[in-house]
Parts: sequence; structure tokens; C-alpha cells
Amino acid sequence: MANDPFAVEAITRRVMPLIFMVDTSGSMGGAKIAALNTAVRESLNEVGEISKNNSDAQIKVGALEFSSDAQWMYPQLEDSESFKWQDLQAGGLTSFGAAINELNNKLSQSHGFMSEPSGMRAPAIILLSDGEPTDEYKHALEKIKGNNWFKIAVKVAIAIGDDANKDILAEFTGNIEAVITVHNIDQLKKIIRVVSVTSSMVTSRSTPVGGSTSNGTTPVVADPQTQAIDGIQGTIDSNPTLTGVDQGPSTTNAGTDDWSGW
Amino acid sequence: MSELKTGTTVRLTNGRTCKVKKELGRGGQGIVYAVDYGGKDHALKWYTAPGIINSKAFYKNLNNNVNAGTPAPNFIWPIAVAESQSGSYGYVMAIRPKGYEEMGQFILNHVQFDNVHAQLNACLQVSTAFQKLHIRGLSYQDMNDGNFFINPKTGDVLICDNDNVAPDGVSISGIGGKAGYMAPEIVEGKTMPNKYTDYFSLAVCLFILIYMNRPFEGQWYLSCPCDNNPEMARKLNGFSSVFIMDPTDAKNRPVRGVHNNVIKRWGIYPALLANAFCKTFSKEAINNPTQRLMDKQWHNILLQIRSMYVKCPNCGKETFLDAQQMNKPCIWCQKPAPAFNVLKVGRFSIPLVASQTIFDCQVTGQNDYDLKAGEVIAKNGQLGIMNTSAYPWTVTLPDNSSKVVNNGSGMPVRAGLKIKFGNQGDSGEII
Repeated sequence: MANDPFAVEAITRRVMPLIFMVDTSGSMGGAKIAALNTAVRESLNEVGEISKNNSDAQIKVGALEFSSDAQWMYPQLEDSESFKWQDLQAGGLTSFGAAINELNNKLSQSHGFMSEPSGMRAPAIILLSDGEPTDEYKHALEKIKGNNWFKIAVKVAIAIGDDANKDILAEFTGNIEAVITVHNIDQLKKIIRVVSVTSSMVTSRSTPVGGSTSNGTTPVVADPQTQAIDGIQGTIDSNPTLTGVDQGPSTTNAGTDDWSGW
Repeated sequence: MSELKTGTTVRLTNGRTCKVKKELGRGGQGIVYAVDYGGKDHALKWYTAPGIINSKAFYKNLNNNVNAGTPAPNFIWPIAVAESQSGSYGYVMAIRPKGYEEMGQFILNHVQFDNVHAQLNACLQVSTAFQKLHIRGLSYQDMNDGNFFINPKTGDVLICDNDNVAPDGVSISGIGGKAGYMAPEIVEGKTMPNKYTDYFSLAVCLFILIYMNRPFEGQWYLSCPCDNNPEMARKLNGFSSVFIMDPTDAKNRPVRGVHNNVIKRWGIYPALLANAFCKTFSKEAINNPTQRLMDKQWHNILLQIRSMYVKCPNCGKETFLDAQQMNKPCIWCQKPAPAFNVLKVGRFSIPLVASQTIFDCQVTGQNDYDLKAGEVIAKNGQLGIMNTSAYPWTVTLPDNSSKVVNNGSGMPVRAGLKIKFGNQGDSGEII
């Protein structure tokens, strides 16, 4: 009924950006990049479903690839329900510093992604890399650490194999527990799903109390990254097919790399 | 390794077993499986969260809840607990029947109540169910939109995730709650969930179900760029939170274009309801939990509101009639209703217009709030009340003579008549 006085619209939701930051340097070629493309595409279907039924936040997706330079797949965030992942190709160097600068530009309310009219939720950034930077990244990292959106963001890194520099990934995430190392294609695909889905659900979960504010010790609701890390850890611990994955500084499965494809 | 495989037989503490059929879904605390229990389909919640798996207190509490049984039929209550096995444990519950939608689907406007009757019924069922839970000395502790399944046609409500339910004041899971539903004192870290924090969450859910916006998300809330930054969240949802319709503080008013629903609906529903939300979300009640409306009070307010939603005597469409605001126009034809009589009985004030229902609970105080006692009918331009109850009404006229109105008989709607409803019931008066 057009003039039904009771007619309503959906309650507006804040937007949670889910940003994939993907190393597409030469070493990522072959099975790794193929598996990554498949896994992210499949995970995005699931994330789209979560977003569709999430009464609290709409999830929008961004994708930033970096090799000899850094570039976004699309110039703005796109709705996860309709996001079209374009297959990434591997080749070139690992310009991590350039990627961080690019991310820093977009984590901005005035000239970046963070200006949705209904407001924002803390972004989730998933970094995937199999090596270490070939450019000078330290300056860029210091700069982005002053970005309030970056500070509050869920930051999780997936280290693809033993050659990934976990220490540098941990500098990015701010917490070594947020670095997950995978050793084969199957693990890579599964962990992309786990990390994407868990990060997407952080905004709509009931939360334990007992975190702390940055300036005090009063117990309050835990910050989004702590919630995400706990969620990812819980999933890894309870899923027997993920026993080969190393979370944090663990090297239990080091030396088991097998990138021979499908 | 706490996941279960299809076909696994799970031993239960009651000596029986259930058999895993398939996974239905997973969340932060665990996985839900479809199981066969006693030859019928049931659901098994199986914990994966180490904090719960390792908590003897949680396990004991779960057993206590099973032994005590459900406080109200709305709860999808744990009916059997699994023995600890395969590195974890869980509990068996009924499977949600078809026709029920998550409250989140209403928030997203993917589904709508068929009508206002269904909407008010849902609110009544929610407040009544929690009243029954609280009367037992329990508190629910994590009330949010994910707990409610509602039939949009009837307003029937089912309440799930009852495993955090514990004696009031006992925190069994360490869960504070969901942002936007959590009471300010939890957000501020002053307390763990209890019955007073339940009252807060209940009011949030009722507000959303009725006005279809969130009670603390207005202009001020929107001006905060990121609402799940813990420090921001504390400011927006803690002791400094501001109700969007707070009569004493306009800084967080709904924004046109963003919070359209409440702007539209706030004036449609009776002032009694608006005032109740203003009281329970007032600055006093934000800071002093004992000032909040209890579920019993919501129950009574909703019974009153239900009686105010009747057919407009002018246009015949359903609208709210308010004896306190006789000039308030019909939401459809925009005309105020012609003067109408009211039956004052107990705490209720029932507008006597054609096709109005008088409910048994309003005249006898009994619990079944769907049981009808009488109906207002129009005949030859005159209004009368038909007794549809099982007990006789004794009507006293202004000259102190009295008449008995039995089931199936009627009486005129006339100011000054006093009615005694059965032997046990209240006395009312038409004014």
C-alpha cells in the first residue's frame, strides 16, 4: 500500500569494509595465485550471504594487489553481495610499502572509503603474502600506524609458506597471533574462508567482556581485532583439517610446504 | 578436536543417546547439528569455544536448566545435556518449526508483520516470556535480535540460545552481550549481565520491533565515524548514551533520510507507549537500572495498547484511539473519532467502539491474554457489549438496581453502568 502510514524501510546499517591486500609478486605464480583467486571468490559468496542477513552492518569489499606497484581492483568499495572478483595475475616485485601507502590513502573519511552516509564499522584487512618486501616499507608502515582507521581495524595476515616473512607481517598486524601460516593449497583455501568469514562476523557477535581501553584497565568489550583473532583461533583449534596450519609464532609445521598444485 | 561427524552417537546424561544427522550452522560458541533423538528430529548445540568446554560451572548450570524445565513455551529450552565426549559437550533442543523468521529479517525489512495485531502480539509474548523467566530468579544475559524467531503472520515468538540463562547475578559464560542491546553498565564494565540489564535489552528489542529504528542511534550516534571502536562504543552505548527521543536532550534525534521509520511511527502509536520508552531510556534509568520498566510493566502497557488499536468509527480502518487524546486524528482518514465511551477496569481503559474485544486477562487478571471475555457490537446504531466469557456479569445501574448478563447475552454501552465480572473478577465502570 503506497500510503500505508505503517510502511517502513530497512533499518540503516553501518558499512564494514573487508579489504583484501594481496601480494601478486612473481613468486605467487602458478598454483598459489590460482588457489587464492578461487578461494577468495568462493569466500565472497559466503561473505555476501552473511552481509545480506546481517542486521547490524553491510559488508563492502575492497581489493588491493601489489607487485611492482600497488593498485585497487575497483576505485571504491563494492557491496559484497554483488562483488565480482577479477582473477589476479602474479609477476614482478613485492612493493609492500607502496601498498601500505595506497591503503593509508583510502582509510580516510574525507578522501577515501570511510565516508558512507550511514557510518562505518571498523574495517577488516586481510593481507596475503608469500615473501618479503622488495621496497622500503618501514616509513609507510610508521605512517599508517598513525591512521585511526588502521589502528582500530581487524588486521590478519596469511603467510603463504615458510618463505613469508612472518615478522614483517606481524609488524603490519600489530600482533603475531594475527599471522597465520599455511603450507599447502588446501590450507590456503580453507584459511582464506575462515579468516574472511570470521572477520565479517565480528560486527554482529555477542562479545565477551574483559578487554581494556587503550588508556586504562577498566574491563570493557574487547576490540574487534581481539575478537577476530579469538574467533579464528577457535575455528583452527576445533577443525581437524586445519592442524597443519601455524598460528602466531608457532613453527610446528615448518618445512611441510607443498605448493605442487591441486 | 570437538567437531562431530555425521552418524556419531552422542551419549546424554539422562541415559539416552542422539545421533548426528548433519550440520545446521555454526557460531562463536559452537556448532548446531540436526540429530535424531527419540525417533524425532532435534537440534544439538555442540560447543567449540574452549572457555565453555572447560567450564564446569557452565556444564552444571546447563544441567540445572534442563532439570528445571522451560519457564514458558516460547523458549527453545535445553531438554537434555550430552555427557562430555570427543573433547566437548552440548545440549539437545527442539528444532525451530517452519514459519518463523529471525528478528534480523524484520530489521532488514526482508519480512514484515502482517499487521499491527501480530506486531503487538510478538511484543507481548516477548515481555511475558521474560517475566516468567525472571520470576524464577533467572536472568537471560545476552538478549539481542539473534535470539528471537517470530512468526510474521501471528506474532508468535520463539526464543533460542538459552544456554546463558543462569541465576540472576551469576555470570556463567563471560559474555557481555551484543553492541546496541547491552545495558550501559555492562558497556562501562561496571557489572556483568543481570535481570536489570535484561530489562534494558528487552526495551531495546521492543523499541525496534515497534518503531523499526534503534533507540540510541540518532544524529549524535551517526556523527561518530566508527561505532565499534571500543572507546567510541563506550561513549555511545555507556552512561553517556542518549535516547533518540529523550524529551530533555535533543542532541541524538533521528535524522530524516536515515531514521525515517521512527520519525513516521513515533506519533502513530499511543503516547502511553512513547512515555514508557522515554522513562525506561531516560538518563535516570540509564544510570540507575532500578528505574527501568520491568517486563510485567511492559506486559500491562502492551495489553492496554492492544485495546487501543481498533476500527476507526469514521472510516472503519484500524487506528489507535486514545481516551486521553480524543482529538488525535485517525491515521487513515485524518479525522478525530466521535466521542466514545470507555470501560475502566483495573488498570485498563478500553475504548468501547464497534468490534472491540474485551479480554479475560483485563477483567479477571488471569494469565491467558488471548482469552476473550466480551465483544462490542453495533446494532441499529447502538453499541452493546456481548458476554462471550464463561461467567456471568453483574451490571449495576445508576439507580443501584442490578441485572445479570450471561454468556451469549448483551448489555448496552452506557456511561454510569458498573460491571462485576464473575465472582473472582474485577469491577469495571463505563465512563
